[in-house]
Amino acid sequence: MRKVISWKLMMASLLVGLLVVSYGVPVQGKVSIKFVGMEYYEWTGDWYREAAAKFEKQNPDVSVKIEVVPWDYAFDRYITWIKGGKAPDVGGGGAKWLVDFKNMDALEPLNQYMSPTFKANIIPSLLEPLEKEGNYYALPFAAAARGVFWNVGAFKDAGIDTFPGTWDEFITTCEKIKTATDLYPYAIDLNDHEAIWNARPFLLAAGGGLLTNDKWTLDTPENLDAVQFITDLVRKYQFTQPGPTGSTRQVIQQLFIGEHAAMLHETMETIGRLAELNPEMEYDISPFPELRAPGVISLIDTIYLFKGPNAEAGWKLIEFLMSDPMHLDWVKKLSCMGGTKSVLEVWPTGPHYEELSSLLPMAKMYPVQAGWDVVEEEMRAAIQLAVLGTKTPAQALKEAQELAEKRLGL
Amino acid sequence: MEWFFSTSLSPSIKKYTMRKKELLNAYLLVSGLVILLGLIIFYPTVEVLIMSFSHLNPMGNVQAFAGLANFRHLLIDNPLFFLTLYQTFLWTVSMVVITTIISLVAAELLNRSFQGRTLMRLAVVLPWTISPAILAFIWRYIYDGHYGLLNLVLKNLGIIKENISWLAYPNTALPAAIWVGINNSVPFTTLCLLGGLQGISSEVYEAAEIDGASGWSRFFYITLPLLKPVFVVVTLFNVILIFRSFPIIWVLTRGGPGHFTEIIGTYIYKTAFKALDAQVASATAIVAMFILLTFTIFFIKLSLKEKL
Repeated sequence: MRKVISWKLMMASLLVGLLVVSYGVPVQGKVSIKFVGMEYYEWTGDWYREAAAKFEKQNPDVSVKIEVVPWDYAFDRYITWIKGGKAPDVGGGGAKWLVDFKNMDALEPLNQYMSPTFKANIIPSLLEPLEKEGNYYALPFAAAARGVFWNVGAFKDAGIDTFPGTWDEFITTCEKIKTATDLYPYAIDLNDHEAIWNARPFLLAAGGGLLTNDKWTLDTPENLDAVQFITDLVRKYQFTQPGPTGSTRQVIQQLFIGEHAAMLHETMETIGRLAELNPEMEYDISPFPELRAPGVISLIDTIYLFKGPNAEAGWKLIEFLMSDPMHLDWVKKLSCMGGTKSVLEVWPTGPHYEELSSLLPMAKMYPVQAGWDVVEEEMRAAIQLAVLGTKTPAQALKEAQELAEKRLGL
Repeated sequence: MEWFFSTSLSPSIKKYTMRKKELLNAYLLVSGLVILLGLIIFYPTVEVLIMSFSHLNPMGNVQAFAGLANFRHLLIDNPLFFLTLYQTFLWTVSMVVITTIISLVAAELLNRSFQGRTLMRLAVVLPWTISPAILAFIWRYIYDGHYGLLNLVLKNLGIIKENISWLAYPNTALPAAIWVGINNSVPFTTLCLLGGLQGISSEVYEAAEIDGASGWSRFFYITLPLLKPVFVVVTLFNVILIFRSFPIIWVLTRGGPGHFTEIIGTYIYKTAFKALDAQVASATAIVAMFILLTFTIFFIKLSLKEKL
């Protein structure tokens, strides 16, 4: 009997101990906030931790817990946390998630926190897409325009001096490169979530896009022109690397850096990678060729303040991360543009960086609208089906439109 | 409690009280497991069942009773579901059949005496220690069309002349994923079948040999029938695990290219976390559970019927 009692007592003590450890013992007088950072590279976790340590030194009444999440799973993790009532206090992410988070009433509007000076320092074209119904729900933490990186040496070998400005010129350029060199004229990723960033310049250049009057529209005549053009590049002309529906971003970057592909549509971080892996390569950056309109895209990564009891402390962290020394250090290491005017005055500088940042005024952000993930997936599937020859571009886009509407309940 | 030990109590009452005490202790000991099972399995299943018959708000909370609306949306309004179901059957049946054949051959070989048998047994079981997601991650690089190891090996052997982007095309992506799944399933199946083979007495084989039975006859008329109980368990286990599989397809192809490798697991995940439609995702999960339950009951009944 005594043995059974002590056994039960042990189990009960163990359970209580586990509960205490899992919830933690709060430090007296300190506010504890959780920051979720996106994993761009291996070093980003260390950067967040160092930034948190600096912040805690300046704000001894606040402690910051860091969690680093890979991009691929970040949205799913956020949804799980929010629905479980365990949203972090501050988190990085994509602007495309803003409407979904807002619809779940998870975001703290930032208007009440931003001083006029702070707001005036944020680049307006990067802040504007983050406003909904008169409130700002995120801040631009990193931004980039994408342009076409082209191998100058390969172009010279093909007898081409300038980058093509139109789609017809683009076809001629690719033909010459294919004849004169053994490089793939144009490397494209139609595999994963990067596929939409590779396809969107074609859509915009054709005068299309994904949204018309706040309604998702995939099967427009302009989009059809774009998808037909991509399909022709792959199937008819064979100007791309084989199997683009299986090529990841890392692979096509490597093809360009390794001088197996002559052109690549990419962003600022590729400049850093080229400097590191193939500094001898002569290359240039130009805007995407036009059919009816510019095809330059921009992307904004954001920082969110989630609703909760520690919103004020969370805002202090955001202000700290957006302050000049921290924000400049962040965007320099990330090889992208910052969200503030003061940082833009000093960065980016240097060859190629300025070429790419000069594209930003003509760049179009992707639509910040609920249902982005579904639309992106169906558009990607449509392009893949067309490129694989399983469906015609028209059939694929029509089906994508129907599927997207059904899945979103529209 | 001294009264309990008093010799003045009748033996039958003492026995009854001892029995009750043992039962109480037994219930206490299993209560932890029952609570755990209840929390991990039964409670979520009931929640999903409720959600499948409900309209939910963006936070996933029940707003109203939906009747069969979610099931109607899934089965009637959504053509992608039946393609997904067909691909799931293809994925399950081919993986289970091929795994069983490979595992049976492996188990037969590993049941024989030879130098290095222990090492070989270890080598067969080793892939089981790697999680399916990591295995898929490794194979994603092996399958890469430009830098992958598979193309390099096949070209060196003269089997192919040009690189193949294994995950880029519908006719290669699903077989490539099935092969990774087989890698993951063979170790456990081999282990179970090996255990079954070791349970067959050698005297049965000796008697058959004396009677003039050939190796193939012994295999078909002794080994296979005596292994049947193990086959039933292992097949059932594999069908359930593979049908509701997720990590391999998710890491390799995310259901692409163009939904050609979409299976139930990835479909439910995307519906819940990409389309943020937890009610239809729940309905899909219930339909999948119903299919598996029907198969399980039917399969067990068929196995028991044959035994009788």
